[in-house]
Formats: sequence, structure tokens, C-alpha cells
Amino acid sequence: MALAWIEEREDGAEDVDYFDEQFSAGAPCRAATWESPLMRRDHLWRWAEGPALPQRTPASEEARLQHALAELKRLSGELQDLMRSAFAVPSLEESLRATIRQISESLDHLREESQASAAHELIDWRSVNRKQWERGVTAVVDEDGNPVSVISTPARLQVAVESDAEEPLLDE
Amino acid sequence: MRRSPCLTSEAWYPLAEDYYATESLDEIPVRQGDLLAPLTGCQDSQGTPWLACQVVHPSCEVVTGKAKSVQVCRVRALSEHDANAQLAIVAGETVSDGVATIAFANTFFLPPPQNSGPYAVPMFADFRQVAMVPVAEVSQTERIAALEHQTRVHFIRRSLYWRQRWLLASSVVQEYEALRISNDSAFLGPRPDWAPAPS
Repeated sequence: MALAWIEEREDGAEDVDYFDEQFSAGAPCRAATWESPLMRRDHLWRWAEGPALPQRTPASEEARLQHALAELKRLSGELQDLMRSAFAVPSLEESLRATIRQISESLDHLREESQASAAHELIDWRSVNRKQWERGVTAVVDEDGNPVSVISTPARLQVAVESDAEEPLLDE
Repeated sequence: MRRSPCLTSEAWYPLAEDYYATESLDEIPVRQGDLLAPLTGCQDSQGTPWLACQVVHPSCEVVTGKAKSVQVCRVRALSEHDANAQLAIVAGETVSDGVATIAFANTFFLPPPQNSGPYAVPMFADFRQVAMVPVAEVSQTERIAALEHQTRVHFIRRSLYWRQRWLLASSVVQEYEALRISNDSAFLGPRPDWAPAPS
């Protein structure tokens, strides 16, 4: 059995709602009007040739409903689980964000403490700068750049070896 | 203009008051050794911007814009090191029993270039930490301070030692720098008196 779609609109057709009506097998083709709640217009249906839908007995209908009810309960349970999960995700996310904030604040605090401890008291760098410059003086020159007197500093250029006791700063 | 007669020094660094150019800054392009604000790419492994950076790229390529990216090194506050290390960095060497030993060869001391703000503190450049920055950002706008030509001689001498372990006399480095400047057809800005334009 099959339903055949009748293309043309049948305005003014018989106003009888046969939708989902069951017909006995072998019933002759007949027309039924169905007003679709979605389409809001009448269409004409008719039974096509062939076997009709099997007649449902009340017992089989109850069994079908029982089965549908059981299925609905099962789906309802799944839906509740899903909803709990769905509600749990934002909650978990918020919890994670809060934890991240706490960790970030702790890290910032540690970083500040680290930087504060890393910021050493400054030496008298001006004095050191002047002394190193004076130590490097090799000559007195006139305004044309000619040496007036030369100062011998034999030791300073003899050593081109670095000190090993240097601690490089980390990349932080 | 230096007073005459004057002293010549083979020290690693000039006197603090002679470090930076103070006049005609608008006429001076960004050159090797100049200090810049931290540019794109100047950050540590945590993503924190450096305090500043120093141009290590050859001056001529920076001025002419031939390079798309420019090499800079990291500038840090002197106070990051303890007192003994600070002494060595500011002097560039340690002296014991009259013998000078080069110390912290990977550093170049930088006195405060400004009187206030974040750059009113003594700093140092670290040749070990370099970055490539877009040439478009290497501008006078981003410049914190421009080195005097004489200070650049010290910078070149120090970086030469860092890269090659060549301990050249300042007078030798200055001679080569004078030759380079005199033959640089793209040279802009005031010339040092020891590197006149070719006649």
C-alpha cells in the first residue's frame, strides 16, 4: 500500500479529515482531505492500488504504546544525564578558570618576589666607570691627536682570557 | 669638541657623560649600537618584553634599509646582577695584582641614557641574546639613545672580542671605523672629527 501525492490543489474538496484513518485491505481507492497544520492548505490524498496497512488491534496498540513509553523513559533518562553533563561542563570550566586565575596570581606573586630579590643594590657605577677609563689611559695627546706623553700599561693588553666565574642570566 | 690636550684611553668603555649623542638627534639615523625600545620579537621565553634592545646590525644596512630584518641584542638592567658582577660589567674586566682579565665579554655596559623613566638606570647589553626585528620598526621614534661615534668604536671593539676573541686596541678599531665612515657614500649626519669626508 502506498499513498500517492496528488499535485494539484483541490480547493473546495470535501471537508473531512481522514488523516491517519485506517482502511481495510483491498479497499477501493478513495480520496481523503488533509489540512496540514503546517502547510495550512488542503491536499488531496488517495489510496493507491495495493495492499492496505494492516489493521492494528487494541492489544497490539497497547503494546506499541508501552514500547513507546519505555523508549520515552529511556530517552528521558539519557536526556537528564546529558543535561547534567551539560550543566556540569560550564561549572567545570568555571572551576578550571578559577584555578587558572589562582595559579596565575601565585605565579605573578612569585615572579614579583623573584624579580625583587633579583634586583640587587646598585654599586657606585659612576666611580667604577671613571676608574676603568683612567686605568686605560695610554697617552696624553694634543689637539691634533699627537701624543704629548705616552703612558705605559704593559699588563692590560697581555691578558685576553675571560674570567670563568661568571653566571649568565637566564632567559626570563 | 674635546678639550686639548686630552687623554686617550684603551679602557673598554668611555666616560659615562660621553656615551650618547645629545645634539642634532633628528639628523642622526639609527645606527649600530643605538638603543631602542623593545620591538617585535624582543621578548623572553615567557613572552615578557625586554627592557630595551641594542642594534648590532651593520650601520650601513640599517641606514639604507637593505635588510628586511635587523639584528638586535637584549638590554637588561645592571641591577639584575649582584655587586661583584656589576663591578665586572661596568669595568669590562677584573683587575687582580695589577693584571686585568676580561670579564663578562658578552656584555656592553650602558649608563643611564635618560634622567627619568625606565631608562634612568644603568644597563648592559647581552650579546648572547639576539633577535631579528622588522627594519621598519628600527626608527628614530623607537630610539632611546644614539651612541656617540667614539662610543661606537668601543662597542665595535667589545663585540669584536665577543665574536672573534680578538683583543684589538681602541686606536686600531677607531682607525678602521674612520676608514669605513670616510668611504661610506650613504653616510648621514654629523661626522666625527677623526673621520672626515673624502676630499
